Amino acid sequence: MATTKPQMLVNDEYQYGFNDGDVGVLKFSRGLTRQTVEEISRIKKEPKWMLDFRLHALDVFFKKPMPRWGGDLGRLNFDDIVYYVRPSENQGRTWEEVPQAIKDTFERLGIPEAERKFLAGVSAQYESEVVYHSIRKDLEEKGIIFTDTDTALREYPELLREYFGTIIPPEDNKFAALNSAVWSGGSFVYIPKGVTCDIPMQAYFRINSENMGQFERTLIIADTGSFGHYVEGCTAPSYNSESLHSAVVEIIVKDDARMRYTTVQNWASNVYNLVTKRAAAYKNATMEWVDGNIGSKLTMKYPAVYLLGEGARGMVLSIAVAGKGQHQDTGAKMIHAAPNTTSTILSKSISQHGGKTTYRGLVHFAPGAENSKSNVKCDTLIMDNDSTSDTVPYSEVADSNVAMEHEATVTKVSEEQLFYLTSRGLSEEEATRLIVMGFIEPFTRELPMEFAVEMNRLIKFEMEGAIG
Amino acid sequence: MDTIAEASTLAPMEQFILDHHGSEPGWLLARRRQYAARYLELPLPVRQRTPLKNRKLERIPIFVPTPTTQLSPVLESRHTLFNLITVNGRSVHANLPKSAQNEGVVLLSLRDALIQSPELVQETLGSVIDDAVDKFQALNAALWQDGLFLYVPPRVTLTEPITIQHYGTDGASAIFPRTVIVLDRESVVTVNEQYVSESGNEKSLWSCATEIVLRDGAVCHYGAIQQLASSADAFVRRAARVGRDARINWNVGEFGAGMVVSEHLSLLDQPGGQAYSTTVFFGSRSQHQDYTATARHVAPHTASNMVARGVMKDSARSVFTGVTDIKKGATGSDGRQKEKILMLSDTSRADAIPSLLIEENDVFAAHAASAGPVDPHAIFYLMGRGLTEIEATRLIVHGFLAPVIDSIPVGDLRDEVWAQVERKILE
Repeated sequence: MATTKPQMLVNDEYQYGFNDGDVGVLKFSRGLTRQTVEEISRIKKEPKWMLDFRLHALDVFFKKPMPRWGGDLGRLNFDDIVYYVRPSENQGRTWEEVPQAIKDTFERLGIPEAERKFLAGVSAQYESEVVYHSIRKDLEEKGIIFTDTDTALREYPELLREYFGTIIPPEDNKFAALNSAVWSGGSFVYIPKGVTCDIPMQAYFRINSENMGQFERTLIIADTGSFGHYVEGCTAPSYNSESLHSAVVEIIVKDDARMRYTTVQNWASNVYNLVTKRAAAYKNATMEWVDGNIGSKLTMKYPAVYLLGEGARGMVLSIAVAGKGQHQDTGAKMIHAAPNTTSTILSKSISQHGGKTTYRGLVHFAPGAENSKSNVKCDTLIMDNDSTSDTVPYSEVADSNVAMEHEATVTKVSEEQLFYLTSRGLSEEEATRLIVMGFIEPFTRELPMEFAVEMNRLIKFEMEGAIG
Repeated sequence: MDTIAEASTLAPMEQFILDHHGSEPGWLLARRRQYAARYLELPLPVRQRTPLKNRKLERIPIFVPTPTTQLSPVLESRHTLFNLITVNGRSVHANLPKSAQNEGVVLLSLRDALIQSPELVQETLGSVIDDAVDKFQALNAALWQDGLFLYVPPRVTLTEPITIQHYGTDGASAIFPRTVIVLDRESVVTVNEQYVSESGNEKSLWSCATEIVLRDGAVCHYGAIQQLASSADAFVRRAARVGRDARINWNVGEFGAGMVVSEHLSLLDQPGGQAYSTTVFFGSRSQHQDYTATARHVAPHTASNMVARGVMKDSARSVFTGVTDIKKGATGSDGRQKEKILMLSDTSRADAIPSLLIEENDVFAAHAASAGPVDPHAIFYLMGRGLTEIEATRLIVHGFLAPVIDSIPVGDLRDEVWAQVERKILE
């Protein structure tokens, strides 16, 4: 058997690592104080309750200790981060109004193309404010609200006040508290009762300024019997000193509604990506997280579904790819708190070039969650000798009448499969790529088409780039 | 000075050691003093799912002379059943099975071995278990009373199992047994260790340690069955260092104690070492059980397979953590885990954390875990055939546990495990 050389799945060289220079119009000095928070709130002309919410969250943030589990947060310095940057004075209404430098960045990421195709709306977050936003007329006519969260706070104050911070309170964890104190931008989606939004809603986020914290806040409400699919993609330029991305995503899926949230995260390899994502699913509701983690220095992200109503369903489908210097500490949480609830977690991890992947998950059955079922499957491929992987699934069963199943494997690329494919005339590189593509296929299959194409192109291109 | 809470300085603890262990060799006295200091330094272990603060362990008197042993006729009669018996930590009886005589096997109480095989004891005591790992382990290292010392010479196969019983009488509040087993090259032995105590009103603290050294090619079938009374809170730590091509077989049955924190560790630091582990636990009433099984693969071509089955009833709580830890360089290793839990009540709770920590790519690692109820259709079917609900449940539990209990290679241990399961079902 031929020796298997370490294969490169995703190029460690960050291809979106261009930098537009500092285009910010208003940029705060580094560090976080009460004044910073008050100033953010003042500039945004927010109502008093939001300022109070922010200040309370700031107190919580200062009080909470740093998590001592998960990845290495030792080099993250909160005093070295700029907490608010607004890149242009006004939010552009049409593409023409968006500043040229920012446009160029988006141009290279292919956003306008994507919009020209069949996206419902493009909400591209460049640094802290959403600079460009549009939504197709027909969706507007259906009563679907898809806007940035700052605008939503002005235009739909009742909805915000009712739901904001109810799924993830600032007390939840240190980074949720930080986000609650300094949040800016993010998306707000409201799908009215019985409305089906059959085209994916899409938003892009980018970090540009060095040491720039990005704290977007997304709130999605799928009202009774509705359906929606929200898609988010992230790329960021490379920098040498660390950036922090700490988002909060709250989703409410009401009775009989179905919501899907798809992310492909490809931050530059100097970004700390510490994100809290959680959904509440009520009676017969379905919540699906499709979560790809390819970039960042350290990601700690565990999309959760609280199955609160009878018959609710939750799904997490995720891949994590960790290359040189990267740690993907990701997973999923399913909290079964009502009878007849079901959940599925499928996690695929790949570590290469000294990268580390960790699956960290929780399945909890509360007393009374009778007839509930959960199935968890975690598979890991370790591509070479320098890479590592941990699988740490927690299961907590406090009701007798439930079924919990968990399976995990950690392996290398099968030598038998390589041998078979190379004997059919494929090169070892082609064979490896084929096996890797097959390994993550359950994930790519669930992506919207243009995302799947982008994903496949990314992996293929960068694997090709590694060969020779 | 009686309780943990009152013993906050080293001097009285050292005095206690001097009073009770003054005749021991200097190295051991120094060791006891060292770990007494360590014990005082270390905080209560922080176990996320077993909050020890609520157990009021500090109120248990531990600096008390072991009650003098007036053996009851019942206990006397057990002498023939066991090769070694400790009562309240003190060894009262040790004998080698007839078949093992003339083979050069050493079977002694650990304190007698200090006199008869001092070098071997000094060499192995504390060589597998890290006694500084937590407060209660340090307590065992400082104050252990007695236990088994077993040495099996090269290429000797003991056909009869070596059996040990640790017995606690009502009123004995601090029991710290320590067992050391050394298997020389290519020897084979079966050891069964049993923990029993009389139920009493006073709480007792057990900190038990067993360490096993397997030299190249040795095979050890180690069985343990824990059936302490609910007034006992127990910390049990077991570890085996597995030599080249050697094999450790753990068969652990956990049934008793009010609270138990039990860990067993296989150190696979020589090529070809193997570790197999079967844990059966049954929680009832308000028991709190916290188990950890670890296989640490350091050398290439090592294999481990850890299986656990648990049954939970009443308002018992269990935590089972399996750790397959494959270090860099352990190429060609294979580590597997399988955990299954049967839930008999809605007020019980079972947590399972089957983790894989992998630093090497040329390996295979897998785990599977599941939890579920008794199938109501199966109960209905059996009751339709004339069984009562209890009988039907009993059959289901039997069927659930049979694949693992029946794989226990030692007949006596297997029967004892089944007897405990029966007792727990009907409890």
